[in-house]
Amino acid sequence: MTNRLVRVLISATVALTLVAGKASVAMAQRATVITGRIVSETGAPIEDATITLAVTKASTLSKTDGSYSLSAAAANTGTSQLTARRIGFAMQQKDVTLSGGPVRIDFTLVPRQTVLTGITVTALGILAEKTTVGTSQQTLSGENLTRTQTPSVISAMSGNLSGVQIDQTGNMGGSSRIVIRGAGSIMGENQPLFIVDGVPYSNASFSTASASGGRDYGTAAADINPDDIASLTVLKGPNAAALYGSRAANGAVVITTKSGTGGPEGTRMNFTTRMSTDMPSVMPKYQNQYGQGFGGAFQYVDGAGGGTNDGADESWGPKLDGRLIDQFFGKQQPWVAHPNNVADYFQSGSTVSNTVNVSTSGKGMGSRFSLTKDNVRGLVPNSSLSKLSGSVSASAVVNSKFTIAGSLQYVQNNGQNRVENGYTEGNPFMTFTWFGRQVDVVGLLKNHYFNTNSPYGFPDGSLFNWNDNYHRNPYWQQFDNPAPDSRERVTGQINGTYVFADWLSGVVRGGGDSYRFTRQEQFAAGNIDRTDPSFNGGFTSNDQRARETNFEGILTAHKAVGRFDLTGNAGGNIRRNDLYASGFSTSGILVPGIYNLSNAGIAPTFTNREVHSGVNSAYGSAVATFNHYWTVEITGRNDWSSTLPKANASYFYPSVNTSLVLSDLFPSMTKSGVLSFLKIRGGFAQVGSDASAYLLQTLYNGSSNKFNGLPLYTLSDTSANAALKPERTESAEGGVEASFFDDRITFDGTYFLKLTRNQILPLTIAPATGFATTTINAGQLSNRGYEVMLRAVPVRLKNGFQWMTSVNWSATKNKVDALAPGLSTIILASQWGTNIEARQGQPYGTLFGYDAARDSATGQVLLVDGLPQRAATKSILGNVNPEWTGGWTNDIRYKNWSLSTLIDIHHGGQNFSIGNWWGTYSGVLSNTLQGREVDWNNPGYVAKGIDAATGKANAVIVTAEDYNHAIYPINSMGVFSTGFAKLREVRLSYEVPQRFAANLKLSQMNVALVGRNLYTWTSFPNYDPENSANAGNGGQGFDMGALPTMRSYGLNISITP
Amino acid sequence: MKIIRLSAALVTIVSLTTTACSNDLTGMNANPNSPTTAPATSLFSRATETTVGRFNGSFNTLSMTSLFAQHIAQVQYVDEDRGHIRATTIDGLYTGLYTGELEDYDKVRVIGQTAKTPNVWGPALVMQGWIFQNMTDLWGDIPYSEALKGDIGGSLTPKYDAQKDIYYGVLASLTTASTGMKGATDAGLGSADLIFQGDNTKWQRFANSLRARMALRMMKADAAKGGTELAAAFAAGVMTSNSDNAQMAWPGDGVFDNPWAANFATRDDHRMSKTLLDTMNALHDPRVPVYAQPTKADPTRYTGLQNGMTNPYSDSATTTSRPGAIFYPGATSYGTFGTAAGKKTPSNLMNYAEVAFIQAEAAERGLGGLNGAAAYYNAAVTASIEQWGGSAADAATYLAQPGVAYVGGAAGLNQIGVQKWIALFTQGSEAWSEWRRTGNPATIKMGPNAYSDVQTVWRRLPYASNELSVNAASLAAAIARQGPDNYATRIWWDKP
Repeated sequence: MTNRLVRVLISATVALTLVAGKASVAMAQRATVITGRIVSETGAPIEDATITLAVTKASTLSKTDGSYSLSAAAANTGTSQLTARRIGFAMQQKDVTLSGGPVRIDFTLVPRQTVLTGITVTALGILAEKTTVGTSQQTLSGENLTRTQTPSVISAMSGNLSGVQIDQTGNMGGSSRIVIRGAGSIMGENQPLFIVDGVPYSNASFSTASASGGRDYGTAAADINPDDIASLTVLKGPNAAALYGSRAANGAVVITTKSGTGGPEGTRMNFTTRMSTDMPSVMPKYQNQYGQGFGGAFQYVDGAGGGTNDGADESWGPKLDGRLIDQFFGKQQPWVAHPNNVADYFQSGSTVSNTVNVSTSGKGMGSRFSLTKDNVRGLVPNSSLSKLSGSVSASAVVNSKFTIAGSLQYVQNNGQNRVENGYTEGNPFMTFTWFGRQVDVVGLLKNHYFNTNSPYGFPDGSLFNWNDNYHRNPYWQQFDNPAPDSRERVTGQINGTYVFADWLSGVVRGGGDSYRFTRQEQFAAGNIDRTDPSFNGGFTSNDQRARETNFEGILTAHKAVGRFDLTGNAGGNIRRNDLYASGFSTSGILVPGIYNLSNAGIAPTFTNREVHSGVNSAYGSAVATFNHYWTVEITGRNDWSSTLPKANASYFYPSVNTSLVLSDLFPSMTKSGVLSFLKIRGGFAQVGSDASAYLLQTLYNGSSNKFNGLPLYTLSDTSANAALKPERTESAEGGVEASFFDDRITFDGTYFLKLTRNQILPLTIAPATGFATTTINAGQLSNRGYEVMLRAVPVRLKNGFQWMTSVNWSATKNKVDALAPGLSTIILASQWGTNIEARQGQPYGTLFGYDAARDSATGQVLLVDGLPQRAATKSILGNVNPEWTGGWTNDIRYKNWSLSTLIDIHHGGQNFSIGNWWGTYSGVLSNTLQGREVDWNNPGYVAKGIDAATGKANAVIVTAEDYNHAIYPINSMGVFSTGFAKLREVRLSYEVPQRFAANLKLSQMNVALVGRNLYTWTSFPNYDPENSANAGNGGQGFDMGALPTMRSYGLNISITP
Repeated sequence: MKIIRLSAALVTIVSLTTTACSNDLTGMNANPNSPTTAPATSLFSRATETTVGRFNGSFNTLSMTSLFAQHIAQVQYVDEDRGHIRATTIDGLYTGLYTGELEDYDKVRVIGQTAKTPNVWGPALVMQGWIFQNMTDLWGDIPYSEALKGDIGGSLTPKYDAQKDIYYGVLASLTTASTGMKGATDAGLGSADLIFQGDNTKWQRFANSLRARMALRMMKADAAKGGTELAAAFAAGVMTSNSDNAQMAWPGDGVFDNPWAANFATRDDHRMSKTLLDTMNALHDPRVPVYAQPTKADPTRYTGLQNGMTNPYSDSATTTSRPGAIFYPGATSYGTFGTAAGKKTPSNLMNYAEVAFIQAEAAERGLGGLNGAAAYYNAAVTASIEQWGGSAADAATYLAQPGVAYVGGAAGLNQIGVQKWIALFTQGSEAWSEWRRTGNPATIKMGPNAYSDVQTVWRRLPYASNELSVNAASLAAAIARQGPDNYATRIWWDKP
């Protein structure tokens, strides 16, 4: 495929050369000579503007002083049109009379940047005219990212970009997963590379959360302060990002931060305050007619099975009709509903963010300083997050040849008691999936727990709680089991640019990104798990330090030769990654509440490890632009990686792409005024990726725990593969960019194909070999799809009223084409019998689990004694990938007012909602009322399906309890479509008029009301369809008591003194 | 000229630093956390701690073999007791044994054989033999001759050997170990040997006792080999007293605790089986207060729970006996039972009492050149009572009772069977194997509420579920030879 594609591209190149050559044949003798000068509004000469004479299609470029000269043969007479075009300026057209003599026509061009023109960032931070870029990328301004208060810059991107899928959670400071053009690697990283000011920026995931437990500590890209961002460009896939190397196989997010450079001289200050109040955007619908128990019966004795069903953590008990029943807080208490007992547990969260920034520009220098403090109060009681981030950047022109610049950022995150996730007693939302619907959370659990002056509610020392078998008091969980975490991060880069000659310059850049992340989980005495009951609690502590260092040098040559504009880059990069992790834990402490090693009653377990890897690279690119409208770029990069065996450590990968502005090649296309701009582009790229460190040798693992003082060693269960090769991603794409009616309508469409081969996979082997897994190169994953961006300005009135609307849409078809020989699936994650798999012939992320047994003829559920049965074998229940994602933005401006909205849509895709599955099993959700409308077993439940005994429609009546319990082994009963549309953002802002602002001694003031996640349209029952336990490959597709994304209302105030 | 010089300098700097570093790149990939070699002593300690913990662990005993042997019954979460063993329990046991201990012991064996130190490779071979004997008794045919060679170019899909061949192979390697250690003077494993602390004589006795165990077990299937091997084992020297017992004591430090005590610290899912306590109570067995605790409802009573009930907790939680206080850690999440010393209670691999029962049976049957079954029987019962803290006088009183006093003949064989079953408490796997071989005690029956798809007490474990994916052809050959891969198929030595 590669070869054919290259051949096609070469022949296309040749053909285009011919066409272009023909269009630019030089003029004949005895010409009408048109001369003139192209200047900007300020009178500055404009170089390289294209001047075209319509009748002859002849064109020329303006010189450094803005002058041009063009002639037409004597045969051409009469009136024709002369157009002047320059990227970044509005096109201008003037009539010209061809009379055989000299004519002077000057143009004053007005700047105009549209979505399709202007300067954009390409790989290696090289700035290029968008018209010359042959790959797909999309840019958001800093303003786009700070419209509303978002948990992270990744969340802020959601819905704003085509071809980019973002999954997020409602966890305070939680994870966001970003995947561009679908998952490419089966076991490897699928998120893009982040680059900030030319230096890679870690987006490491800190989440320990999964559907079975852990906490969500978020992802490192959340450290980027959106207020510092000048622009964010997404390079979609290998074509655009090949020069960035291995890690850009999944695309790249290139961020340029604001700097003081380039503004008017002087000092500017700005204060921004954002405040929002946060609440769950989606809450389950609970039933409020039946309380705790089984079979309509409940009587409390010890909360652990000693009474009548008092160990039950389900709600199949007596009707909530006010009858008197012994309960955990007293004998003969009224049995009544508490419809808001779950909602009342949550507190309203809040986020307050204050930013100050100061920038100074002077002659040849600029600097910027910014400081932000965020305080977040979580939805779950006693949880909070605070963040401090500061950055400083500066640049200075040393002399006419030498410029230096640098930036430094410091971020500090402090989390307190982030809620536990997934199926664990520590997750209150899991507790509410198993619950007594009669339990009064605020009145009883909270108040009694707090009033006792002791963590224990009962004289015998047991917890004041509704159930002693399985659950913790959800307040005790949050207040007596502290879980602090902190992350400190320093990133910085410094660079120097030297201009050797007007055509040759070089830049040297060094940068570092390092963080330290510490998390602790402390468990008080009385926990059901994680502590030894002989002691008074336990704790775990983990510390992780990571550093990435990059050193880079690039030489750039740029020269215009005739109608060709040639640019060449050559460079090298040295990257080193170092990770140091350590931790300790004990399940027994002596004195309660002292979570210190010196208080350990059980010898602590210690772990520590270091991981080091490095990649050296050499790369280059050559770009040739002909006459401003046709560009061909080739790139090549060679990496040497430390993680591959010496023989395979060096690998090269090329890319080629081209773009052609058809509307410049054939200016007549734009004549009618309908089409303003038309560009086609296409390309092919390859990227190689290395392995994780230390896969080449079979190792022995030791343990810090000594057996009566004796050291312990065991051989690893992974057999090494000393012959690993790099993974290869190949990608081809083609696109069209067009604008109509003087840029009132803009279209940008792309078709892409991405293949990743030679995947580095852990292969499960027969354990009798002595090993559980080995690592191999095998498999292929493909993604193909479309991306469309359509933007229009339907209304633009003279009085300043403007309505802008834009749609992003993308559909990606993903398929696991092949795995290792003899291997048909790889399990990425598993919960309760349902797996998320990479299954051959299926999309990556297939849900594979048990369906109900079905009648082979009709497909209806087969019922035995009125109850569904589990199918004999597992089958495909769905897949986690949306069929398409889209975003619809509207932006209305009038005078000082502006209103913007964003609707974010995911269509298709399923998940296994363990929350719905257990919430139905346990009788707490409102859908479990069916069959017990009158009383607990009345009228009973007649399941839809075929009676296995009679072969006819089922008529056997069972209790709702029996029916809903029977769904337990049947995973498909918990699989639902996750499609949604969300009113993601609404922002109404008002620019306070100058004269009022001046009264407040301010030069500028902006006030905005903002809302986020205001409404969700979905068929997904009870929970938020959008949830992502972590940013990993197996973190998608299971929902178990995940907090819903937050609905926020807020106020933003921005002041410039 | 200046331009060229400067740009050349830049290119040189970049390319030099790039290429200079690429030479250290490969060296960078040496893992600083984990070595590529490890001392035989540490491997042996770890493998022993792991395998003893695994075989005596709560999943393998409390939720599987001790239920099969009806030593224990489940009072909550009763799936296993009703006949549904979790696939994850079986998979974990099978996978862990091969990838963990068996592979580690194999590395110890290689280190020892390379260094020509029999006191290192000998114990490794004995422990491998003990594991393979236990494994083949659970599953029947398993990978053996081609196993454990994944990192040295061996088969990635090892064949399953017939149980007979595994028995022959293990018997041979136990003989090799016993013979090799005889007179060996190398320093050996010393304190890293968690079972005998480097006592070479005890390892030889353990090896020979294991040979006797296997020889007796294969008697119905291969009487000739069994008879020869039994005689050879006795001649080579088996255990002679409780001081020869193959046991491992636990540090009880909260990290390495007796697996039952660790389970009971937070779980209250088990009670003594009615089958065992009824038998022991009827015989006024002095071990009852050691094996069991009195019921909560009546502290004077020791009552077992019927195996295989639907939901016994609400009826029976307080009226049935928990296992003995010596298996409890003191404080638990549901009350205090026993003392912290329970965390140290040793786990058993093979004891002298079992050896004496083997000798009693051999004598009764006229095998292995022994006679005088009663003396062996009395020695066995006495050893067991003493092992569990009783006195010689207790044993004498017990042995004097009708029903306990040895009567010989077919009835004597039954007595040996029942007493051996009592003595094998905590060793569910061995007790279950003996029940499969002898049918003793006859009181082991299916529970009243067993799942409808389970017709009999299990006679073997099904193979690990993953084998179909990773070793399908080998698995198919084993099933073709041995019979359907289910709980009811009898393995080679298990003849009706």
